[in-house]
Amino acid sequence: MLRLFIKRILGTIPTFFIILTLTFFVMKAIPGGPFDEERALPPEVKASIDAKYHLDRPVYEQYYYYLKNFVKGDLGHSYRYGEDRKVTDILMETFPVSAILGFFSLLISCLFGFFFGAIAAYYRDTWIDKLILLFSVSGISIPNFLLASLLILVFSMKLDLFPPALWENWKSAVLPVLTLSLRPLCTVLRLVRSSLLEVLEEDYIRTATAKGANSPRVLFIHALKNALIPVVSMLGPMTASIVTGSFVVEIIFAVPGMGRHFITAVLDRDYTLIMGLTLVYGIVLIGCNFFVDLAYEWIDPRIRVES
Amino acid sequence: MSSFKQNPFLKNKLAVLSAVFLLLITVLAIFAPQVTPFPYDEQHIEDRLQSPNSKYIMGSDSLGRDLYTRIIFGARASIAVGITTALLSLVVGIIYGAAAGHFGGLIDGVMMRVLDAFYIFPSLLFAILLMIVITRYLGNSLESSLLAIILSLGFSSWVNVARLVRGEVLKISQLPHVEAARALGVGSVQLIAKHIVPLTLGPLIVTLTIQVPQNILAESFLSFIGLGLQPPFSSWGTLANEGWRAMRSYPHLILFPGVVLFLTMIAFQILGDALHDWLDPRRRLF
Repeated sequence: MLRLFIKRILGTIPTFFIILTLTFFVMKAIPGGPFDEERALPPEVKASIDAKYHLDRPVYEQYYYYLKNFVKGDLGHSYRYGEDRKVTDILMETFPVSAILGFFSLLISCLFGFFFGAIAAYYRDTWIDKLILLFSVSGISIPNFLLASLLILVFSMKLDLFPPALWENWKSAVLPVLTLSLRPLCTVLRLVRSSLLEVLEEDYIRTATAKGANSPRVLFIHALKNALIPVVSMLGPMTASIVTGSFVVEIIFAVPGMGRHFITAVLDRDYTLIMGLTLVYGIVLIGCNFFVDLAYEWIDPRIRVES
Repeated sequence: MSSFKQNPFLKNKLAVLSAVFLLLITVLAIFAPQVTPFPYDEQHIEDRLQSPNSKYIMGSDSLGRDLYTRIIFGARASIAVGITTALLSLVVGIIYGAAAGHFGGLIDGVMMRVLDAFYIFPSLLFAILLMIVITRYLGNSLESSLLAIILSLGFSSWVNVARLVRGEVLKISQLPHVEAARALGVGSVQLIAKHIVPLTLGPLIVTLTIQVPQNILAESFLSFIGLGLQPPFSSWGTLANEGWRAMRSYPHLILFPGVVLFLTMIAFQILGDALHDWLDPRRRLF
């Protein structure tokens, strides 16, 4: 297990390296520097700024500097906010907010996805099953901005239960988390339902039933564990979709997280901040996939033997 | 396998309904100038922010433009982007996937590692980064912002296609008829084009029905965050972007474009599922 663990950790390094390199060169492919916009700077001022940020050096040298500083934990200053705002400071402030948002969305989508998926499988082909499937098709299809608007219109304008924006107490998190979790919830629901239905056809389930185990017990003790496998393998892509979902959700609900900063950085062309945020997203996603791989091997012994 | 009873009638009815709806939207979009009461950018300042009424069936926006007209014209951009982007990602994905699957060995290994990095990284995030670069090169006119969206979405959403094609190519390469062809000395390009790619068509059609709505949604996402089409042109995403700012007082501005997009997504989902069942009867949902 330890050898596997180390092998997996080493395996994440090239992936991260590819993401870092790709982001760097995509950013460098943009014509003109970050300081060429709107008002033209006097040439000597521009030259000194360029020299300061190594922008006058060839690209491969800039890449080297970026790698060196990255290893030292220095991601530079935000172009937009200038000297007094380091990218790492902005990351420190915004990361916890988005992490809380993402964590609870993932938690809720897994819990309720499992619950409703199991119910749908248990009552398969009845109206309960049909209703849950209808819900899941709608949930996957609804655009984030429409769902967010509907929730705001109903729960904050009409019922006045939750605030429509900002990030002050637990109540502020309710609507953003609901918006973010609906789509992954429906994905989990459909996966759990279809893999449960598949597992229920297996011989060992028939054995358990034949030995007198009643059906809820068969469903929850024997079948659900095996239905876990496809869901676990989806956790990586689900996290990725929560990341991109957070862009829209954090803008609409004015949540001071990484997503909102990412979008403003993109619109302001704040390249250092864009790169810093992209790298953090890369690390989070690679970490998530790493644990998914481990969990996967732990749940399904067949994979362990094969590798 | 199918111990639970099926209801093909209901399923087909839903799928047919979805197909009719999508066809209707497409026809409306193609004949947009004929089926809308106003030019798409005509402003009626005296009729600003009207709620739905007999003159403006879906209301009007902050410049007094008819929302129904703008949604129909928006469908043009949204659907065009959805389809062209799907085709682009299909082409890129097929070439990449077929090459990796065919050559195998070290080349396949390296190509798959790159694919893994793309797979982990959210495609929309990559699309945003590409969008920044491409718009800087192309400028901000309608054609170039459309082209920028298509290119950045196409080059960020080919990963699933590539994975699928590679897997299929590996599987199909083992089939007897391919082995026979290889034994007879058929060259590798002809082998891929004539004996392997045709067999991947089924899964590719299903992928297309997944890719098109995903791209429509992705376009609305880019436009919503302010990176997509530039005014006065509209797509469902730019309309939603204009709409949510005024949501509290004029909810119709976000609800109508949002609901049209929502219905389109549902229709694609149901149609895709039906198609999937038709091509792979083992996997049924409804």
